[in-house]
Amino acid sequence: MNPLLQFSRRFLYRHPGQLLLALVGIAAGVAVVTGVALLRDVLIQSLDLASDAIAGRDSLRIEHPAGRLAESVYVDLATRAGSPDLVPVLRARVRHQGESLEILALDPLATSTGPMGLSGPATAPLLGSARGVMLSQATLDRLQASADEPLVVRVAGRSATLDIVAVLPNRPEIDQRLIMDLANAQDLLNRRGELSWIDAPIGASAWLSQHLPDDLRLTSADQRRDSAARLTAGMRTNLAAMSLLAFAVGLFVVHAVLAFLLVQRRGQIGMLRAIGVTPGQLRTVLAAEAFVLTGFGALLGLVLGTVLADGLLDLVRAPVAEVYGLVTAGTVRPTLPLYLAVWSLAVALGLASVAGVLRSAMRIAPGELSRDTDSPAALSDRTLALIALVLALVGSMSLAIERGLELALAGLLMWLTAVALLVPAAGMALLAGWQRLRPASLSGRAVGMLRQARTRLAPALAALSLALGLSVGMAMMVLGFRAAVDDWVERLLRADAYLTVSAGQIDDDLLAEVEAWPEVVSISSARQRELPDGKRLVGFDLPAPAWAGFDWLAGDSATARPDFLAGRGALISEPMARHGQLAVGDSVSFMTPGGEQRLPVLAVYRDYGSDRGVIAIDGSFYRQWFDDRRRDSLGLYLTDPEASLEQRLATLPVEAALTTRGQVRAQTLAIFDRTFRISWALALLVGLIALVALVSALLALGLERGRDYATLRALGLTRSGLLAWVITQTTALAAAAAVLAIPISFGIHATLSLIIQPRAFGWTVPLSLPLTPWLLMLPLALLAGALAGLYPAWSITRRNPAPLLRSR
Amino acid sequence: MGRHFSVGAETISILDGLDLSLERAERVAIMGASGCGKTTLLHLIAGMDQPSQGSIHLAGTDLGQLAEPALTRMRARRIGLIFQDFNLIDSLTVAENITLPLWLNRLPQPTEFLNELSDTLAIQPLLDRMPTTLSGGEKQRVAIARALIHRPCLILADEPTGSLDEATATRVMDLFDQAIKRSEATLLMVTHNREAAGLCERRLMLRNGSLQPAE
Amino acid sequence: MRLDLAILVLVVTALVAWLGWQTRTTEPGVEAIGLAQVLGDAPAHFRRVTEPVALEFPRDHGAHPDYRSEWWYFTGNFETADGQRLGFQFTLFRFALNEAQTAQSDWATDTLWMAHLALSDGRSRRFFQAERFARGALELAGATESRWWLRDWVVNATPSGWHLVADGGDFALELNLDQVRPLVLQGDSGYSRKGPEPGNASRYYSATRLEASGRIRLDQQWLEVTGLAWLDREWGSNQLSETLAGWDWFALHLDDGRDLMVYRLRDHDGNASPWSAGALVERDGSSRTLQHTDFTADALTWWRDPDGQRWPLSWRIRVPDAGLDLTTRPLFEDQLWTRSVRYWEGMIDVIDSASGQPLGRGYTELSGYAE
Repeated sequence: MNPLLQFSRRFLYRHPGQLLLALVGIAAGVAVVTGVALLRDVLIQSLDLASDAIAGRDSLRIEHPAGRLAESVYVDLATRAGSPDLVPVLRARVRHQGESLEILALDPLATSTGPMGLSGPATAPLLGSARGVMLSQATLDRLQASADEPLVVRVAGRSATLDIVAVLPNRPEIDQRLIMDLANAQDLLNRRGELSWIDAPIGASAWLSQHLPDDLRLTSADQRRDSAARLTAGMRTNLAAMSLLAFAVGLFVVHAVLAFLLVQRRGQIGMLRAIGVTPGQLRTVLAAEAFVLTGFGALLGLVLGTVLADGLLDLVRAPVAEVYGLVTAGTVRPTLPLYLAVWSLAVALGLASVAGVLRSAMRIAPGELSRDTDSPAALSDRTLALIALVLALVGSMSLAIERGLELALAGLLMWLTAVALLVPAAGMALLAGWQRLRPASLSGRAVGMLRQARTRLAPALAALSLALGLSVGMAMMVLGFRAAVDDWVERLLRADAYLTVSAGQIDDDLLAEVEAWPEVVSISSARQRELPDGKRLVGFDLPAPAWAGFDWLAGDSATARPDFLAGRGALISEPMARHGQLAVGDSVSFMTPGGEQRLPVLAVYRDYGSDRGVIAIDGSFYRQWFDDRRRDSLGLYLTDPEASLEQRLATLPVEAALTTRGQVRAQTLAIFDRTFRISWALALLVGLIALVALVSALLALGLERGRDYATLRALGLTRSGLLAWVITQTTALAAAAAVLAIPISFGIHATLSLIIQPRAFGWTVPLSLPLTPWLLMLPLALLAGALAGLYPAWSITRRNPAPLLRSR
Repeated sequence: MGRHFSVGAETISILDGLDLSLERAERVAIMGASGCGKTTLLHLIAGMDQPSQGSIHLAGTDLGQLAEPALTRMRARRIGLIFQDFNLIDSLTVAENITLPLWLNRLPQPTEFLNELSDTLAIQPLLDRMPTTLSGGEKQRVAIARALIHRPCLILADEPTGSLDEATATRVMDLFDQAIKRSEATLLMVTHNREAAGLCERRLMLRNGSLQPAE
Repeated sequence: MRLDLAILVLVVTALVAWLGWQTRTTEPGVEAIGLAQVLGDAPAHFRRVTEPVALEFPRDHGAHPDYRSEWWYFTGNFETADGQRLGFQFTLFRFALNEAQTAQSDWATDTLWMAHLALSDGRSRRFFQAERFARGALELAGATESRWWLRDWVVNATPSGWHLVADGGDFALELNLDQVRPLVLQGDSGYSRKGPEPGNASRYYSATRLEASGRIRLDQQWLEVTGLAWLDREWGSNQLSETLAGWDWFALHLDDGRDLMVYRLRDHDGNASPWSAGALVERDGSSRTLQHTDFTADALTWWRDPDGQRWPLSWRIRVPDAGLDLTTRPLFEDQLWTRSVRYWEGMIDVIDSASGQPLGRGYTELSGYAE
């Protein structure tokens, strides 16, 4: 047995608390990174998995720019000489008790390989049951449904009863998807003759490029993944930034713990050096120690992260369905390369974070037997300030460059690093101030003792401040954003009531009936269409009061209105303007069945409804160009806003519902809140890891200063006095971190609202100063500080001071 | 300050007016007031510190010409160190502490010599215990065993009885005396304890940076 | 130390194993089915074949949707100018669904079509197979008097017979198949009984000798070929009784100008059923039906496929009244269908059992061995 390994192993065993904290720190950091990385995969890959399942990996997709295509296109292509195996697909979103699902209808006989593992006669049950669907076991479990019972779903505004004809083995490709026969689905969805797209195997591109009609386009799997990536970019960036921060805090913990373990052993290491252990031998054993700790902790983190990802996914799935109209897989799909990448990154960064510690261990001179010297800071305050200044300057420049989300994020990270470098000095200055105010009191003395351990506390203090600042800054941004959305909805909703029908679409006859109601003064309406590039096109019928509900950001609304009504131009939303770098006077174009339409931009309005952007045109021109006379909803302007229309509603030939302004507003805010649940969850995780950082630093401090505490006890400080002493220290540390977090949080709030949001989503958020997060966070931070002191205090007061004093 | 020691052909000599030759198993005590540089002198000889000027030769090698890790290996092989504060490795057992130099020098673990030393130093019953459970006298005896186990040619002892009470100190020095005789190593001991110095054939006084024979 | 190292290794192994388990992917397995399953057990609303009726052409070349199942079955042997032997199979199967779809959709169907296209290359001993399905809707597949097709695999009637065009990806066929003998109505005027129950029967007629010419694409090269082909047409509901496990079918073009078809229906013990039958066609086109007592067919050698299943590939067929004692030998062994139906369908040589002299060529179909 190598005595050096024994030396390391026994030492770790004698400090199980530290060992545990180091493992928890790295594991928690890695867990968050893993979880978010897995989510990222879901938000990009799973959206396209259906085509993988249907036509093989990296399959091609034939689409029409208008988003749907006639089934005759398929028949024409599939019966031509040399035709590859094409699969016609019809897709529709359905809901089952709050779960978003997708009906994926296809002709199961269309490929020879058999889509979804079905082939030929095995598909007979799917064809044979008019409302038959197949789904995976995992989806069935998530719906808490039974294969023997009918499945009731909401589809196209009404309720439908489906029969489960087969339960398929679990595969992420078919997660959250109900596989249905095309004929039965066209019937169920009332979409006879219509397909959503046609899937083709990857090898078919040459044939297709020769035979594809001009109005259709072929998209590759990569293109589709790109567009899914663009669609969810804002959300993913947010998640990635949070996960990296969590990881950074985790690294702080590892660094703090390993540094402590080293300091504890300074004397022993000096001893080993004196009797002839070479620096190389020492480096090997200490590096091995760090490697085992980070490697094992990272492994734990991968496991935790995989478990965590499923929980986070539940928070993400609903908003992704509501906001982006995308059905994601219900489970994450880990891959070996992803695990390896995260693990290697964690271990590499973990080892890098302790490189300084190792270097200082190498510098321990043989025979240096003292263990009480606080290792001198590697860099002076002046050098730190200089580095911070440079970082802040470069960061500011990246933030200032007008475009590019990645640049802005990099800038933000540089700023945060600069702040992290300065926080310890600032924190110590704060503590010094306190000590000067009350030099003789217990708190003054306790704080004074803290200041002696600056290098030990610096990482924890920085981590805690950053974590608090980030949590609060995020919370402020979310609340400010929420207020902005509320104002926007409030302003936009001008009608007294909104009418929707269960069939989903309102036709001309129905509109005429509603117009005839004597209570109705005027009617606004909207018809929305998703363009293939993710943009939305809306045909608006806007009476004057509805027009006034828009918040104009550019253009003259008075002159724009006549041009708009005459079809001489379009309105665009702020995200559209930003993504396309469009200004009033530029032109926008979109595909209609009759060809491309190009219109000048009349005005830009505020919109938080779509981060891809909206082009709004007058409803009459929409109906003409798209040959689509239906409306999604009607806004009713009434003679008396309080008038009851319930009886009128009953006379309509279809099932219809009225929604008041207040209800629409509440629904909007509810969606908003669901969208940001994930942010809250991540902020909480970051906070928890920061707490671990604090506890580990304080525990290290307690153990390291054992002799001082023992001396205090020997001099007559009571056990409870010592308890108060330690808790005062931890609370003071938390308080210092919290105070420093205030400016950090403001900075983060401002950067997120004014720079990141516009670049990620395309919209600006008016800056506001919600202070509630602080009112919550300050007492919480102090409480956390006090709680974090409990264990170290307990472990310190429990120790008998005598041996500590004697062994010298 | 031009110091020159050499432990080639079992001699140690100091330039600057004083030549010192030590026979094998010769024992030399260096005395002096606190802070006169006794410990620094030991550290210099052990290669743990660099002389500002001059050179130190150990077994025919100029320590100044050696770089890490050769210097460390030289120390591991040739020198046994005994400290005032014992400085055992807390996380290793007594036996592991004692045999650590053997491992460092890739020498076989000699149970015979270990037994002999343990008998001489009366630490046989302590071998499986942890250092934190030992008394001061026990610790110092373990530290002596650790310094001798790999048969170094030079033992450097820095106030070996400094932390012990008088009775224990006497007993430890007795055992130290026996052990050092058996090991046939050269001893250079820094002490201000006259009794301890009495074990040595020669006693030198370090004063104002130079060595002079003590009376 | 050993213990805690062991525990650490154990825990790490467990964690890594758990993570590995998370990354597993499941590939869908395609289920193979047996033709015999499909051909038995039709619901009562399908018409049964219970007695001879007069067949009428070209009307009966088209589909008979009242019956449960039906097929158009070409096989043939070819040779290129430089002597390369090639064999082909093209089959269009029609299966009626138990219940027709009633959906308001142009895709609604009551029929499932399947097509099998295969090419055997005697020189490189390679077997190519391609399978397709389609629903009987939107003209994706169908069979009329003059046209049998599944998407772009098409057989068109010509004045002298049929013209086949089909591209299987790796290989393709463009063949003229000229009918040189009258159609042979199998059994009793096309009423071919397969079992004791009423309805255990099919309509069955054949064009036993088609003079084939055209080209075959193999390894990106078009080869000009000539040879002889065979067409079998059959339809019915519930034609196979449950006591049957499968069949062995032989269609032989003899060098002396005669055509011989025999099929041996097998029970679950492998014994020949008394409902086995055949037909012998003379040079002048006249034919006579063979009852099971008129011939014997005995397996000579067996081949074990990669899955371990045994197939009897070489047979001795005796028709004493016709003076025939034949031995069939496959050109090569692996002519096994491994798509959704597992059966052996391949080109064979026919030799005289006594002298070993070549007597002709043909096709063998072995079914019901893989279930």
